[in-house]
Amino acid sequence: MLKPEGIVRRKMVLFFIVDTSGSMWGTKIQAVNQAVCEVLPELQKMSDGNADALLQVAVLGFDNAAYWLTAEPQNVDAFFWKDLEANGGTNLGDALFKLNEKLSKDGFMGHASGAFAPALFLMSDGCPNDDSYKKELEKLRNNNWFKKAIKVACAIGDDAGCSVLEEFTGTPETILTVHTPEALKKVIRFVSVTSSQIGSQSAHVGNRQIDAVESKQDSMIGALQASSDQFTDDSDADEW
Amino acid sequence: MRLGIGRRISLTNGKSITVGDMLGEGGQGEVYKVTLDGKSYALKWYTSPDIIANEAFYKNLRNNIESGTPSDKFLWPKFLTEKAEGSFGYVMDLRPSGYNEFAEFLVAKKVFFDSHAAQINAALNITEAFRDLHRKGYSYQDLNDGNFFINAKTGDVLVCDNDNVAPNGENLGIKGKARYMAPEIVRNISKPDKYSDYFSLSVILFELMFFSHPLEGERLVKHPCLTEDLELLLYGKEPIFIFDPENAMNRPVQGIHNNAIRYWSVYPEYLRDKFRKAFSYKAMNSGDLDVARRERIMDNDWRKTFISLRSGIIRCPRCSEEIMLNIGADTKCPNPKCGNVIGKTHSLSFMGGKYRIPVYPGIEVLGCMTDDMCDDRMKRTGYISTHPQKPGVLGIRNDSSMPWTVKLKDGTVKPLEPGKSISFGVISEISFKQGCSADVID
Repeated sequence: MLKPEGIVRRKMVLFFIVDTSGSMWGTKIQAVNQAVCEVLPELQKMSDGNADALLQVAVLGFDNAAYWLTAEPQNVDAFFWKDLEANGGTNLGDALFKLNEKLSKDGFMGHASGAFAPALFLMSDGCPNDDSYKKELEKLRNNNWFKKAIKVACAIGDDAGCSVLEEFTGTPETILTVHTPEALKKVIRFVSVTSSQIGSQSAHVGNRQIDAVESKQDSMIGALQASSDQFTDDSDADEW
Repeated sequence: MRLGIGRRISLTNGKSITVGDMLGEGGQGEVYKVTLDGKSYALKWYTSPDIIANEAFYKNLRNNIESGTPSDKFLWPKFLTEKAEGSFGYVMDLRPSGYNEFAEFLVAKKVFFDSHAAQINAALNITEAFRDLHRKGYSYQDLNDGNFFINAKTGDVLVCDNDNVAPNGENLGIKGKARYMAPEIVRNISKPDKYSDYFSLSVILFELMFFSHPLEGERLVKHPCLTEDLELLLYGKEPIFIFDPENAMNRPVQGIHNNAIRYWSVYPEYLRDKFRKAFSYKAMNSGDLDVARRERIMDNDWRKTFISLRSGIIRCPRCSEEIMLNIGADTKCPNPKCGNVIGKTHSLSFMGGKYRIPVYPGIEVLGCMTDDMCDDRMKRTGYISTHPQKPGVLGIRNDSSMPWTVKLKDGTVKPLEPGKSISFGVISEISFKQGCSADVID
């Protein structure tokens, strides 16, 4: 029997957008590094056994300026996470600018057999110290890939600018606040796995109207609500 | 909250299980290895709040356990747990070794069928499993590529995730998986039932034979982003089969949908026709559900088609590649390095076309073909071979225990006793029993 090629899969890119400013130095950035490394084998397994989607990862760090750690999205089975280091400011505006650039068919989203809307996962522990982020966010909001994307943010510690993160996700329901490295690791694992799963998960019959569709972002909100007890971070104060 | 190793959980039958390692997790829950009376089993433990709160779901599981598995092709729920730690679960057999998930065959990185024979056996086993399930009055409701474990060597199949199975017409909340749901389910016009099962089964069978999705062609790839609205259009409101004979808008694209293009020509026309019917405009038109349901291919119908297909496999005399012979047309060896052409053969059409096999040396006639009351697809009742003294002359031998009646081309009728053969050149019809016959087609 002639061997078949793999079934045609659309790609699904999971973007890690990580604040690497000086305030992330130490346990915060180490927790991020460790958690992503730990979840990668899970994502690889998911991609191998997934006939719907080919999972890819892209990583954008930002401090004084934003920088791609992946020149293009990488298949999870070939991806190696290079530990991030933290120093400098929090130039979110440049990160949004660079994200907007790549959220296009000619950027990171081109694929012969098409792509699912991406998952964008922003992690930050502070407020942007640049003036440009509002302007760049405005531009990003007009990007069709961004509009359809799953958008989740993790606020690391008390000083994280939740209102800024909410401007990014468009809803407070996909913002998770963490106060400890353990909680951060849990959130990274959950968001990475769940946002990657959403595209191919069985859906339940709701009280929807005929021909109405649930957005991927709504599905993500549902998944976060259903598992909210896993992320209840009861810590009174930051422990970093 | 994950279950700890060593945790004991009571079953509704009064016994208790001991939790071992976690084997996996999915959208609805987690799976653990457990022991019961010294034997290992798998426990599906629910974490989905929707299911945990669904009393009807729990009751339905209990009913399914009480009524038992439809056949040995299911990893059917065996025991139900009492409610504990705010949840519940059920116990089933562990997946035996030698089986892989269907998705692994589709991804085609490490797992491949040994042969077309094994691949078609898998199709047969899947159709038989769903026939048995539907005959018990159930519908499966969530048929997708995650429901099967398949043995690559033999094509043996185990159907898993049987917890949404419910009496046809009842729905416990599940809708199905995108790309496998029938159009009327995608559009939320109706809830899953046996007719939507028939549609999903056709998608699975197409994927199994072509390693491609039947609705994903040019129309999909011209959109860079598969949005929810686009999914609704392509799988719900306006699905178009990639080989629709009347609508060429969604053809497979060379360089992308290579499997679909390559395998479409490998199979006989009668199989291609069956898929054209399964994914016709009428069968997918959710605007007229009565017609759509009537047009869908039932599991038993698929079964007959795959029995014919399985019977018509030969080895290429030149390169030994498996060839599935056409009926009424030449067949080209699928090995691109060979290209040998087997000329059109005579064929036998049983019971008005329910089964069709080519007349070729070594092909077997089966119990289900010669007796409409017999379901047996393993028992040989006839055999096609070359005349021992006349090379090139083919005949059929009666391998059953009953005499057959053959009608000669001159109109005369004579018996064919068990163990006796007759040449195809002189006969036009074979009668096996009252109401069961085969026409010899030139």
